[in-house]
Amino acid sequence: MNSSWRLAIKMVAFRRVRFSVACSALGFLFFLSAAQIGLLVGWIDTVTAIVVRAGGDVWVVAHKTPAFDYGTAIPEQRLDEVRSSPNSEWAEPLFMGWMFLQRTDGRRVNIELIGVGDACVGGPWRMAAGNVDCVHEPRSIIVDELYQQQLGIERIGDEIEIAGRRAVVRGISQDVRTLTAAPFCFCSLKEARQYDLRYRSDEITYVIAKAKLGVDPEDLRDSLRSELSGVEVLTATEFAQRSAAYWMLETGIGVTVIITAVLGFSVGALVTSQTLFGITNDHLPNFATLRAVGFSQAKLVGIVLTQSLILGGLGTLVGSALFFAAAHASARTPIPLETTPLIFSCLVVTNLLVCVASSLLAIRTVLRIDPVAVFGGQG
Amino acid sequence: MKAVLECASVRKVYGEKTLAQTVLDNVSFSMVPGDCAALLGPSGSGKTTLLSILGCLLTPTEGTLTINGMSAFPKSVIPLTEFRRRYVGFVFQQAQLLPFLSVEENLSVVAKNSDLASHDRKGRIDILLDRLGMSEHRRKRPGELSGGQRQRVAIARSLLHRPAVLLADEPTAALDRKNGEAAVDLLLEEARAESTALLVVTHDTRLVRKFDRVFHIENGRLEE
Ligand SMILES: Nc1ncnc2c1ncn2[C@@H]1O[C@H](COP(=O)(O)OP(=O)(O)O)[C@@H](O)[C@H]1O
Ligand SMILES: [Mg+2]
Repeated sequence: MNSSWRLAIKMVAFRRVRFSVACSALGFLFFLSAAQIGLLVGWIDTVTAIVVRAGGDVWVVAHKTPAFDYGTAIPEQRLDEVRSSPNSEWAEPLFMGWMFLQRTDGRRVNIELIGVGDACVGGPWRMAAGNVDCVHEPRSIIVDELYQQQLGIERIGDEIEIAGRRAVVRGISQDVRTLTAAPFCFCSLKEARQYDLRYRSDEITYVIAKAKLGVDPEDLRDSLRSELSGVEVLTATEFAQRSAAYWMLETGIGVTVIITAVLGFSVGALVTSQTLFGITNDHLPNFATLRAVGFSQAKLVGIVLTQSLILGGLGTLVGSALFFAAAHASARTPIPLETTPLIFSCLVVTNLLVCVASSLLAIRTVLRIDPVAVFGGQG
Repeated sequence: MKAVLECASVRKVYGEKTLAQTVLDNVSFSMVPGDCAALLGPSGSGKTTLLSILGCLLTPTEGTLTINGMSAFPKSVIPLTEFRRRYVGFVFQQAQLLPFLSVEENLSVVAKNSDLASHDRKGRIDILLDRLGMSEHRRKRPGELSGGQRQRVAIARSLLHRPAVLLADEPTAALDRKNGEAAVDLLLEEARAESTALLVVTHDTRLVRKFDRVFHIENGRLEE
């Protein structure tokens, strides 16, 4: 090990207890921040999952649809128009509506019902039991594993009622989460329109379209915009972003977690700053000695910066371990902590920068040290 | 022989106006390589102040200071830290070792900061520890050593970079008589072996006869 690193490490870790407490606190605070952002990423994933996983390039939606969860009826004729567009490879209908599901025990639960077309586009992407195609069987419904208990469903074959009509659970999906406390349930488009009396038999909620090979989603969107009237045409990315923005920004829940994350970083900055300042003050005579025996101010600043990186690095390490353990443990729950390599790298870099910036007070102290202090106590 | 340390008409005044106190007044002297001098004087006479100025820790109010042929004051050609790093060695009243590093590490951080070539560092540390009888304690922390042993390590540290000038401020004050004398002997021995100019502040008049030259300081005046 390089001797300057060793000097910095041994000085910062000289008082073991303080050092361990600081590292643990920093680890916990990084975990707190990372977990908040992890929640955010998980939520964004949740509110965009169906749009993203449907695999379409373009979505045709009713005017002013704020999010996927708040679609409203458009004429099914739009579907035929999209299908006949020269730029579309395929187009599929999708229904979504808020409904009441009555459990076997009579309790009523709010659900978001999704009705899929023949190709099951916009349906569940992973099944725990049964097959996606089972939605086309009469009175069939698919519910998600995560919400089975909430819906009072024990196994395939259980019967429930939706809007007074009997339905049979024929499949159980996986990882279709909801942010709204109303679980997603899937049926066929035909059945969905029979449950939801607000819809006529020639109405749907969305058209999902795929661009022909070599046609950009934006080009398909633009051509459909000029061809279709009375609807809005968005790329899948735009619709996902609009849904995420609605839930995270308009409802304010995303802002809350970001504020908590910032708070985590700020308290981390305070802990780092106080720890380094305390250590620097404890070692003032040693810094003065180093100055006297020929260490430049830049070298002393280097020692403090190294120490801030050691604290920040260890805190990040501890916090990351906690985060990934929590992410693993929450992966199969309705509220998972998720991250991406890019987002996590940004968190790590932010944390290290915050720690380095927090060494300012300690650096100022070190710069003020007068090497004559080595003769201190002799008058 | 050419002087390695030369000061002329050095004056040091602490404070300003009515509070001004002239601690050093018109101090001039020079030392050549291998010169071993003792500096005597009552408490508060300015010994530490003079050493601080000679070691480039403190700037004088007036006068000139030249170290190894280079001007340090009034106009310094290189930063004062550089004079200390390259040409000056210090031994203080307390050993002032870093308590969290072993004996060997205390020396290696200073060696690394010096101009010693990397292949030279380890050998230099080994030789000094050996000469000062500290080889077997190299892995110990300062807290595990006696005062005399700590002072030996401090002497080794001050000599590592082969300084032209070695300044010691009451290096025996924290030691008992036997260890104090041993420390001064080591300083003299090493300074002579390495042709370093040595200036030692001491109160112990019985040690004075070991030195080539003796300076007295009183009321700001230096006399030989
Ligand atoms: N930083 C300072 N500011 C003001 N006065 C000082 C300072 N350092 C030393 N002095 C004064 O200068 C005089 C000489 O001090 P010093 O050089 O430490 O003496 P010695 O080492 O001979 O005991 C003392 O009167 C002391 O009070
Ligand atoms: Mg003194």
